[in-house]
Amino acid sequence: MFVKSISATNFRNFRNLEFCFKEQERHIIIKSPNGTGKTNFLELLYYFTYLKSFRAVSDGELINKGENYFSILINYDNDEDNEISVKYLNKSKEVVYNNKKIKRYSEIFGKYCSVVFSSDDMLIIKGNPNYKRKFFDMFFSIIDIEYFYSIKNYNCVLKQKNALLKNKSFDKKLLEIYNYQLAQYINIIQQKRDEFIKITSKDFNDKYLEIGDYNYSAKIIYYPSIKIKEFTQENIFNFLMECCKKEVELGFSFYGVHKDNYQFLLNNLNFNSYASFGQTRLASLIMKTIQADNYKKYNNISPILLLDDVILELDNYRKVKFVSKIFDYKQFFITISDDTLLKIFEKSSYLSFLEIIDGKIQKSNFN
Amino acid sequence: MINDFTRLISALTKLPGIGKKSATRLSYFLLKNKDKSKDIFISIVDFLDKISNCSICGNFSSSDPCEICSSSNRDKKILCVVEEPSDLLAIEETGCYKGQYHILMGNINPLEGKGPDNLRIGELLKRTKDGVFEEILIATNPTIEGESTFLYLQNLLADQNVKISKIATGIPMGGSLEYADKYTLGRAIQSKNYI
Repeated sequence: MFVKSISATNFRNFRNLEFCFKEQERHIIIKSPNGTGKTNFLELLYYFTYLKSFRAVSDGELINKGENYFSILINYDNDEDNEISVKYLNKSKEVVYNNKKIKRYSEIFGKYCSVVFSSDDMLIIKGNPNYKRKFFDMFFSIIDIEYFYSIKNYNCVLKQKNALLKNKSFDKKLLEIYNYQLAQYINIIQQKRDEFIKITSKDFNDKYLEIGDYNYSAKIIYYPSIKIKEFTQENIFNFLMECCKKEVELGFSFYGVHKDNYQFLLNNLNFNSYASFGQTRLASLIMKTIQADNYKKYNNISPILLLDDVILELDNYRKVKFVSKIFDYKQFFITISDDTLLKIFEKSSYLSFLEIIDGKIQKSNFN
Repeated sequence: MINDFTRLISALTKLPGIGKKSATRLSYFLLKNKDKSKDIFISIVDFLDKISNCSICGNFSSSDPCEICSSSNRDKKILCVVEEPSDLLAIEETGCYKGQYHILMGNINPLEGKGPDNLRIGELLKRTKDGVFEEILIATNPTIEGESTFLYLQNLLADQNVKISKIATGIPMGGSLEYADKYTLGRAIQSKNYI
């Protein structure tokens, strides 16, 4: 995948932005002082992936102050020429893909792929279970469509069960039905999580040793919240029925895949308490690279990589090793705020330098 | 005039599929075509007076019992359970089913405050307990709520001596496998038929 041109009106600090990339402009380095809008530019490039920002903001907050709409357009090459445009006005979005208006947003998912590397990625390794689950759910959904639907359906049933449990005088038979439906999805989700984490853990270890050049092993372990000897739908159902009493007392569902956890280990010790900041950063970068690799492996798409000031914490040796890995991708955008980093990219013959001045993108000659 | 006008608009927007703009357009139409509007109004009132629920299946009907329940040409041994009257109409239009119906008037959805007690499940059990039906075909929607409703009914009817069936889900006729969504296609493969 290769971005050929991008334009934006009233998106963040870009009042009127237009920029084209030439065929050889694949490794794009954006260097500008803090607060000029580097991350905003990556946010713009990311927006077309899921029609939302990677930062926790609403669409309304993306509009330039004092205006009431934004409109953005991307033209990219994915073996053929494609175009997506989005116009946001009065709390509603109009999305057009190759001159056809899109009715459901999900129709656009997978058409344009990007993977963003941001400072929050540390939470994948060190964050709370909720953050890790969210990351892995998205991660596995790329690999397996059944996983995606099972999670979606599981959450629907879970909401209904929680609504039922809130009501003190509920129908016990209905609770049994919900547990039966949940057991069906838990069985699928747990098996798939177990299977996928084994593959991912191996990838993680290989890459960590290769880029990190460490002597010890790295792995990911999956901790299901339901602990039974043999995982079958029937056993899961029986387990849920045995736990009913506690759930009724609490008034919400306490057991299920929404309480599962993942842990990252370095030399069999938890990253949280053992690994250094640099080691954790490298682990998070590797997880994102594996995610990008999965797009290639399972969907045959080479995603656009968006790196937001993330290689700073690595030492020079590992910076070079990591950057040489991402050279394999068709196109990446990286923001930096330090000239010394430029040396690392010297080997690339596809380099292009950009800077942002007053909400406008322009070419620059740092080299 | 303005007050009356906004009152009419807000009344019309209560109809499904009618937003503020459509309601305004409809209001002007009614004003400009008073004779036509009165005719429409009379047929609505007439319709509302005439139509009530059938005491057996629950469908909207001008007679009680309804045409389907009182027809002697229909199979009295098979009962089809659906969520809404519109589902009954859809099945009737296929012409493939000639049995009796029972309408639940919704599905089980605690999130919207709808439990089994709010549906016509008690009436269903009363109809089936005498053993007049040989088969009960449950045709709830293939949604999570429809599925829960199906499982709940299956559980309730399990101790009655009656065959329970469920409508199939899969690829629509005339559709192409290439354009089917992956989940539907996956489900269709899982529930394949042996020939």
